[in-house]
Amino acid sequence: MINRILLALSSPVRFRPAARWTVSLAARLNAHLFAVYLLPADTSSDRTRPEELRAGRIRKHSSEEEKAWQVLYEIEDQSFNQNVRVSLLLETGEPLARLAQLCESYRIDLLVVSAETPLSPEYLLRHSQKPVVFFKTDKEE
Amino acid sequence: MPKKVSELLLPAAVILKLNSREKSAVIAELTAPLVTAGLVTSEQEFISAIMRRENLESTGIGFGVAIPHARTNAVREAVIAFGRSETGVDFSSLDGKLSHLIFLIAAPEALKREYIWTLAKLSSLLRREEVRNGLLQAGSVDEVYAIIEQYERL
Repeated sequence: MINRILLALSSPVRFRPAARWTVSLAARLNAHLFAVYLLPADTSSDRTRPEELRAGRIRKHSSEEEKAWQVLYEIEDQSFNQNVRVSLLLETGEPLARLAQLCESYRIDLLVVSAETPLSPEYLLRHSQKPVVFFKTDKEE
Repeated sequence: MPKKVSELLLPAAVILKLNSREKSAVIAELTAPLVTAGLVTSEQEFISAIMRRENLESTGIGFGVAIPHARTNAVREAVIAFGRSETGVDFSSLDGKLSHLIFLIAAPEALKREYIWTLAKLSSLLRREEVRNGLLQAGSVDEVYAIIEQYERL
């Protein structure tokens, strides 16, 4: 029984086919979708760095965060239109460790990973406690 | 180019001390000035769209922040209302915290791109602790604008 699906993304590029497929699956199964965008750790608040470097990092990180939220809210919009219960999460840090924690915290039944993520398929398939779907896309529509 | 958050925020819809304590009452309190300003043409339709989303998902993004939102034809033009709650309101955030900073976004059905952009911009701004602390401590509507404008420029 699949009640909770986690969709893991980490790029604003070519995420739509994986998102659309996962939202449709969640709609068919009446499952709760957790859309997670994994960002590298924020180093913009590192006060040991020179001020101008920090300002640049804040700008870069804010821009990456905004793109991540755009991806998440686009998924939210699709989910809403298909009556899918959805939770959005923007996570920073080491992606594999975060994914493992999220799967446990939210008692995930199925993990969907976009092939655009830097996660190693072999590693995930070997270590995941749950079924994993890797969504490979060659091009954006 | 979509409008900035500070441009979309309606001064008359900045409520530094919300009277309501329950989610649906807070949403109604934040919607009222938008109706008065003529930006929301049907209060009932708009609140119903907001509540439909609230029943399906959590718009609490964590860190004591909630962004209830709806895109519907009951809205004439995109606008944001802001309310601050001393006691906190339960928006079912995944982190389990009550929301003290509540931004309500209203947009016409046709403005999907701008709506998503605004949600993303606001969510990104509000993840910054300095922004949240500034908004929690702001003593006036002008101070709320100043904080948002300052961090939007970054």
